[in-house]
Amino acid sequence: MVNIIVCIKQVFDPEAPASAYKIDAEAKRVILKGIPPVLSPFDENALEAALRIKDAHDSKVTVLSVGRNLSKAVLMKSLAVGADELLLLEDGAFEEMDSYATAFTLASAIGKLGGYDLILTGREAADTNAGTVGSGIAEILGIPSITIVRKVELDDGKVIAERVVSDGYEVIETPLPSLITVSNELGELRYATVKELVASRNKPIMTWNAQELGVEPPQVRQARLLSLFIPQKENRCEIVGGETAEEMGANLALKLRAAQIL
Amino acid sequence: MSDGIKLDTRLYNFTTRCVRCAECTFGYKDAEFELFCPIYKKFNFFTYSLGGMAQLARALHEGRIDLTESVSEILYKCTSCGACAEVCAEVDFRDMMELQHELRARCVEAGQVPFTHMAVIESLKKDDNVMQKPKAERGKWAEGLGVKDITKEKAEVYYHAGCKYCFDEELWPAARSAVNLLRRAGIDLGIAGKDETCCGGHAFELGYQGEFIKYAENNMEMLKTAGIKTLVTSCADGYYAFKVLYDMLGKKGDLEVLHITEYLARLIKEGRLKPTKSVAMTATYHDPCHLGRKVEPWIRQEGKLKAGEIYQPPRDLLNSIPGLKFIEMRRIKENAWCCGAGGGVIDAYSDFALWTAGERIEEAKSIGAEAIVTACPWCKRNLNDAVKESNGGLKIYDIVELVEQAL
Amino acid sequence: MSDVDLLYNELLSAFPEERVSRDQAILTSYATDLSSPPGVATLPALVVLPKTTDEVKSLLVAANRFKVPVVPMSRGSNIAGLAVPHKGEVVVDLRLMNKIIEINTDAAYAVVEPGVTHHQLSLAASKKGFINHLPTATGGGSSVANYLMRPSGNLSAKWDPDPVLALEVVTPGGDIIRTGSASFGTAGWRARYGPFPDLTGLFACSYGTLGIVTKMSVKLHDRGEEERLLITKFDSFPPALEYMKLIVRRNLADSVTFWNWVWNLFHELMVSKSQKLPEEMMKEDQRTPPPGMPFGIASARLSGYKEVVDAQEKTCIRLARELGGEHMPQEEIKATHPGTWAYLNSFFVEGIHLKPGEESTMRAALWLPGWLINAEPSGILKLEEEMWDFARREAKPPYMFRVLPFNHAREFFFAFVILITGSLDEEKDYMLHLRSAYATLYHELLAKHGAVMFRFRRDPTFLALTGPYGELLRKIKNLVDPNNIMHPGVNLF
Repeated sequence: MVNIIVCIKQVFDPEAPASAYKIDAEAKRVILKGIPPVLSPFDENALEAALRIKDAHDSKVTVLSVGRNLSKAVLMKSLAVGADELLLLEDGAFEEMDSYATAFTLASAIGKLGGYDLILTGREAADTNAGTVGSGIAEILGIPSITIVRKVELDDGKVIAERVVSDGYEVIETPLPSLITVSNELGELRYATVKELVASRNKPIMTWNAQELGVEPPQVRQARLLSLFIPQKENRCEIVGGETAEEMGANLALKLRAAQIL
Repeated sequence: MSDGIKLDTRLYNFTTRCVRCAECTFGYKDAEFELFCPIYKKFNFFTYSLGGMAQLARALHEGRIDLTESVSEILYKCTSCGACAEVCAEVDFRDMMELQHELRARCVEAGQVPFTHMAVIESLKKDDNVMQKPKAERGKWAEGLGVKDITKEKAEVYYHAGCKYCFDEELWPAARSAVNLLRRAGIDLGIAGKDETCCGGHAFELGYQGEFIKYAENNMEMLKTAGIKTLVTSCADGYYAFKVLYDMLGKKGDLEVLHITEYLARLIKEGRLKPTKSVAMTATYHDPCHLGRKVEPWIRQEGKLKAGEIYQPPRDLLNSIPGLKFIEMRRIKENAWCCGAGGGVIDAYSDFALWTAGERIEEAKSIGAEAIVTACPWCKRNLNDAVKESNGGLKIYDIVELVEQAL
Repeated sequence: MSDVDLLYNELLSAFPEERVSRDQAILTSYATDLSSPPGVATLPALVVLPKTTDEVKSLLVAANRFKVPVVPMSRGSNIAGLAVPHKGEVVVDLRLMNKIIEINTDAAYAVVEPGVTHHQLSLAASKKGFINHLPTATGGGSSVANYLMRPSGNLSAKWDPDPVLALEVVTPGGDIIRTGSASFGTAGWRARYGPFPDLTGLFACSYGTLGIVTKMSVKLHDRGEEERLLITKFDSFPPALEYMKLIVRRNLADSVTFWNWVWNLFHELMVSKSQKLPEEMMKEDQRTPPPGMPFGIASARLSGYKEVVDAQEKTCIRLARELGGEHMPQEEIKATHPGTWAYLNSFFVEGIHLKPGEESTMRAALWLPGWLINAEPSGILKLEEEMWDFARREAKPPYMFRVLPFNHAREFFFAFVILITGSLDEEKDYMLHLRSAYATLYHELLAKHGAVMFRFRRDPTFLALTGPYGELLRKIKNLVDPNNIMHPGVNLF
């Protein structure tokens, strides 16, 4: 049986309209009224990758999430679509961790769980877009990792992955256990029916706090939030003139070259 | 574990000033003591009332209770019909509605919402409707009508069908009737067909305010591009969303929003439509909350928003139909008994929704009505399902269908 | 298992699951009322919703066996902590016992359960040509609870001040006792007194400490062919008091109540549904009304045959004039104080609260810490002076008072209220301060003017002042409720 661990971050819905976001600059806090927490979209892709492996091989999929105020109802979606168990690392100390602390905590939990073959994460979280936790976990656990993957297959104790590069993809093979960060090209997470959502309530959920996890979460944050603001976007519109269509086209090309776009 | 809920001072004051009289649960006009709060009548604990929820909200604010699953369940079992705030004369209607909007938004932020609502919203995000149906099927209801598409042609008046009419095949005839009637009266009408999207009102009522904003912005953008000044809809929820919620958000602008019953009553008054054929039946009218209480307060209170309850137009329509004997139930207008579908109850607690509708059907039967006429697709669907469950005995009509029959 | 667990398990066999709860979310809404300071609340152990006397009995027997205390709760506004748990009690929510068992037009009484509201009873009685003893309490209040706590009754002058006849009470021992004529199985519910000592009276003002009342018969009054509201205005309190005294002593009106000017502005506010106080109400010197307003008005309900009512009205007007007061014709008061007219007319003439909840309108828009106290007329006159002093010392405007005579000048009672308009958070300290100032004041007024608190205010030192009377009561309490499970948090015993 293949033992797969998928790390999922709970983030506020990144698809919420920009006008629904407000910033409390003083408290360095984002105010999100009536915006739900969701599974970070790239992590959903990672879960889908795990479920596809499970479709083909006898596997157990464990979903792992860390934070404070985690919503079981939201994370249970992973159980509804086919994950086998959910492990929540929940503690006040796990609030607003930076990438290193997150990777450290997740790696500790994975170490404690043991017996894993494959670890999957999204290529990056939809809120911070740092994209370093996955590689961080692999580093701490001392296993190989492949980032930004669009396809994963298992073959006789090896994993074969297609890694997205700017002009195509590379095929990479590595032995298990290993870690893969998944990109959106892999495909969307399957839907859960209401029936599956209801049934998922009977699947096991474990919760560990810092003490149960048995680690001191790193006290020293490697990253600190200095300020929070909504960037001012400026749109400028310039009408490119000309007597004829050809002339307008030529003028536009000149402008674009001047702007070093062409 | 929750961070607790902090209410603003006005809402918190409201919660501390409840004297627990529980008058929010019953009407006062009839000595028969008919409770008119569906959840209270069904579940009996004081908790299931405006007063009870005020105490609960107070406890949340004071950190005496967390936003647990069972708190959330209580909040979401409410049909959000607003009957309580009509009787609780001492509170501003807005306080009550805003308290509920606030608490539900917090439930959403905490991920503490019914599963079924999550599924509804997920499908909304993917397919732009709350019926969990594929987007591509949205325009099917209007096939063969040959009505203008406002995304391609200019039209004076825009008809918004709404998710329920678009995807519930049994309800198509009412939407088609509406279009036919308006065109027959010479209105230059357009629809958006498959490009129509949800108004977002349902998302708002479930607490997904962010999602609501998205739809409000999209819809207003589309209407602006099409140069639409007047919107008419058959959907009561849609009417509430465009007229009240968009205004609350500051997005409505000067868009004229009409419910089909208002528009038809106006056209009949002006002689542009003349019901002449007899529709023989004894019928009563069920007031949808979204055409009554929920749009009324914005005029009654000092708030800036201007809406208006629609109590008279549907009654005028029924009275204009030859052969139809219109009779009233006891709980009407601002004291109407909810059909049970509202506030997402039909999605999450469908048994309770049906029970509530069953109570309404009994009331209609008790006054000798052969049919309940309503002007909201959600009410019609829920009442119809409840009739089927209780082996018939009564017919449910959309008011527009009856008007078309009479022409 | 704890006693509460044991009780809960036992109750699950006697009650359907949907009528007994220990869900924290359900319990929380039963934990607080208007008197609860921010953040302070005691959760009930359980909430139970009985529907029948037998269910109340099985509940009390079980609670008594496991020695878990209970708090009965019916309907109406809860503003003084009398129906919330103080020690983790079981809350017995009686609102599903809401049947009017009988309206007896022959002997003019009604039999009701504790969940029946004044409003419900008024409407039912009205349909048969009767009016119930309608107090100035909320229309949503339970008739049983309100009458047993002695309401500020408006029909108190001409009729018997106490409308309560016979009771059905369940004791913690599980006995179902019927009092008055109902104590004999065949005599019906018509009378309070029989050949034996009156046990109905034992349960009045017992605040749920002796048992749970499950039925009550109450007196109804004939509406008469004519019902009229008579308003007279006065420029000061002493002549108004004299006027009221004479009216009740000479049986000229069904009831009469005096309202000072602040209260009248308040009626306007209630009917307008506005939550904004008029500026005149905030003036420093509340003893002097704003220009154009009388100091206060007396409202009297007159009913009966038309000729008689005409004569009574004429006599009342003469009496008022002789005392320096003046009649306010309907047209005048409708023009100058439409809200006062609408409220008083609906209340005192139609016998129906304008809308249930109007009374609580005041409470929702504002905080109203206040009390009712009774004394002889001479004592009442002194109370007015005392209260101006107290107000200068302790109160921020607006504050207001109201006076009702309680039958043939035996007792008059004086209600004093301070309006607090800020939020609970802002005014918490002031509220707590007032609470203790009031507690001291009750003792002072009793010592100086023989004025007695109308209702018990959870002050355990009060019963001790009564000496052997209190001791006898304690003995009775021990006999009826040896485990002290009945509403111990009320601090009566």
